[in-house]
Amino acid sequence: MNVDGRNGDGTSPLDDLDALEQARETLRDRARQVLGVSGAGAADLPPLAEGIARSGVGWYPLAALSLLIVVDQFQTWGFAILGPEVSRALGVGKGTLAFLVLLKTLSVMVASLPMAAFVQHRTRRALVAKVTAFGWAIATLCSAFVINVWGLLVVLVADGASTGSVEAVHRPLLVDSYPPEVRVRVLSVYRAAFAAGTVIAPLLVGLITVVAGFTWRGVFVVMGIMCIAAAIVAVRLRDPGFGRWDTDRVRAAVRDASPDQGEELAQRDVELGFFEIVRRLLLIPTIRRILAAWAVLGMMIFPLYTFLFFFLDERWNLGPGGRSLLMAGVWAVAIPVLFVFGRRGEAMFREDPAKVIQTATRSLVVFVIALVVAVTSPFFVVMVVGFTGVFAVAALLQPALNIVMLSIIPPEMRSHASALAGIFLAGVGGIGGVLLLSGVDRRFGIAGAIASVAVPGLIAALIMRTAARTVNDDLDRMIDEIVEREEIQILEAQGRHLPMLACRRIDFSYGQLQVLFDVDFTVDDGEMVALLGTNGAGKSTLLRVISGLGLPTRGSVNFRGQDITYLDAERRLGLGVTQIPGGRATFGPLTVVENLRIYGFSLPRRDRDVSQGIEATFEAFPRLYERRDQLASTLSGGEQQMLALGKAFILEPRLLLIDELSLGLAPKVVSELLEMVRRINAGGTAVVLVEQSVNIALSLVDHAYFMEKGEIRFDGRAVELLDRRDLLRSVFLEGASKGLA
Amino acid sequence: MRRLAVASVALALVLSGCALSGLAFREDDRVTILEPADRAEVTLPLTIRWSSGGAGPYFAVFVDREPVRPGQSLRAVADDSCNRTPGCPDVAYLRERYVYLTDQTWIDLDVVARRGGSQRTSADNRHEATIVLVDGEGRRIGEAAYTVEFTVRDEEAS
Repeated sequence: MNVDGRNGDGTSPLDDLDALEQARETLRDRARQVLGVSGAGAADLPPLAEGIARSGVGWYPLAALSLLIVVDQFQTWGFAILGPEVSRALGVGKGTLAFLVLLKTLSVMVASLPMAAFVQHRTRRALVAKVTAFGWAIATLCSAFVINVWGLLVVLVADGASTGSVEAVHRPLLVDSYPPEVRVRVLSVYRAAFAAGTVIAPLLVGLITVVAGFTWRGVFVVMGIMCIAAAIVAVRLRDPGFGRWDTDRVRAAVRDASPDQGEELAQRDVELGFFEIVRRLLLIPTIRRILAAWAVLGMMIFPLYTFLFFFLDERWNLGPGGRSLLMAGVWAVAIPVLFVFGRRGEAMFREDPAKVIQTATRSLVVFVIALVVAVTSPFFVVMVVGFTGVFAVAALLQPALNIVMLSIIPPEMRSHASALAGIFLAGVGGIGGVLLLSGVDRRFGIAGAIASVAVPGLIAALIMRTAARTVNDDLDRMIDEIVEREEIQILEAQGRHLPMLACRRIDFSYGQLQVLFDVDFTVDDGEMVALLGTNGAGKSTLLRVISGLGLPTRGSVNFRGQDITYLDAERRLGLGVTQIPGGRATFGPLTVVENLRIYGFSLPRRDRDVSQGIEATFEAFPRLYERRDQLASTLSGGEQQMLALGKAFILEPRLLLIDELSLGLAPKVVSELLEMVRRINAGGTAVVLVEQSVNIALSLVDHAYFMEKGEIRFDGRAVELLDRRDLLRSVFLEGASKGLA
Repeated sequence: MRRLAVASVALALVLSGCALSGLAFREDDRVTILEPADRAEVTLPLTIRWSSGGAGPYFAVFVDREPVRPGQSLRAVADDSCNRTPGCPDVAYLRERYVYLTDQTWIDLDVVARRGGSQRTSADNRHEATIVLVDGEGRRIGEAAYTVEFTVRDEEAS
């Protein structure tokens, strides 16, 4: 780079970024194809076997995980069907048993998120799947040997905690194992395996008790042994790595578009922590909507299971055997439905992911109609047909929503999203639904309670409809992120200069109110930039996005070639980004020295470094030294700003963001502060100065931005801004331009 | 250290909550309930009759309540004041709590507890009787329990 910030070939860093922009549309189209959204529909859709053969891993991961999802349900069904026998044999109340089963459900949810955290950035999902499979196998086997409530507590919670892996790692493993063109079918087969488990488990219970004459203990012994056998079968599972079939292929497509890519690229992304990932997921509109839909669906599906058994008992006088057979029958029908949906859903996803959600939404309406028919019908056959429709639709919702959810997020976040979906479905929805419908049951009876789940069904359909509108934008957003990251790495590897800070296409909202619109903002190494604009233009908000106090709804923040868009503010501090917020950025009840020491605690600095920083602050602002033991709240406005600037001496940031330094201060104090800002900048720290006063800002900087109504209206040399009276008119204007002239 | 503590607590719970002996893995069919038929609609008074197949010596019939735990005495049904009173609980006391102790293979049931509140449903007329074996000291023998469900025609419950 030359001293004027230009590349060796005379182009500016901004030219590089603009070049990225031009190539983005082409790359986005290629990336969508790579991710399976080719727009081709059913044309050229490879048969499942061919797609699986192409994956190189064969059927084994799908078969092994499907086997595990079958046996995963054994203990649950065992206790559901044999609960009364367990209760009588152990002398444990039904209420106690129901409470313990609820604890098991809670432990599934509680365990799934730590598991997601355990596997983030590390390819050990297969290990977790295998270990937990043995965990629930042993818990199922031990269920046969419990003699009291403590034993029940341990085996139920242990089973729940280990089956948390089903939410956290099974589906992400499948999605990463197989290429996009077969994923809907793979997820449908997996879901069909779940349905098969729902058929097999009750039949197995009946077979072992009625035919073989075993007690509930015998049932758990047999089931436990089968679980262990399944866990042994799955022992060859291997983690395929993150994004082998999607993000890696998109990156490769980007590299193909830039043949001159220099040395092997280093993976320098700043890895997000657990909570950063969760927060980042919740910022994606489609994910938010799908999670909300899961919660509402949970209110519908979980109570339905509970109340359905009572309904069949009371309304149709069906005993445990009849109820089990009916459930097995209706789930058996769901299996072929899932196979049909797999192929059709794949074609829909290829054509347009939104169509998958729209189909799921329409299916939900069918669900509601079938449910009402089933509950109100005076004919047994109609009731059975109605519930068959209900469960067939309920079965296909899972693969439909999962393929969309897991396709619009980076592979490393799939475990988190999957675990969150489980929590929203079973936790928020399931528990909320049971509590809600218990009241409906008391008022309108069991049929009324079941019919009332039609209401959350319709609400979920409405939520899913809105998700269909955002899914393509979110898919493109993910593609853009991958493309941009890869392009930046290529440019770096080629030795091209990039700005130290590059904010690209930033959108930001406070709730429903969007305040930043497609903002591009760059700062070079050691540069001092002014960010000007009217009140409420979004200047302070942009600083918050850069420092991490606010997270954008779209766009990226790259700092020194690293994507820090969703990094926590304190981690950005460690990278060298420091903000001095507007107003009194000090702790009033603490003394001057204590304030300065507190700044030092922000980073793991040694005492000696902090002391040196404090000395440097006192050297720069002797007045602060005189007031070193005084409370910050008793300082004047100018002194408080001096104290706030002391942060820069202690933290020695690479990028200092200063918000409204001069507001309400006397000119003499302002000039003293500005001199210090100049010195900080001369020491190598890049500075972004947010100012309302144009004359102050432009006296300091060469490069200025002007914001209005959340958009960047000017980006260029400071002196050129003075010629833009159309912009300056609304602000401070004539006086400022005259002053500088 | 914390992991070790958690593992120790879990192991202790497993050891205290599980056993390897004295467990029933095969159905114990020594007792067969003869009447009423399962899920039958009945009127009060009702006779519950069963064949013993050499089981016994005593039977305890729990109506609409869980039986005591295996090895536990029927005293568990009684409250503290009864347990401090010599001769209590007796057969009459237990009957008031819908526990019928007998050495016969039948009992007569005159009343069943009224269930549900002001808004009664058909499920509130559904009742359940569970027969377990007890020894001469009133302790439950083994895990075997035999259950029959029946529906009492409305307005007949006490």
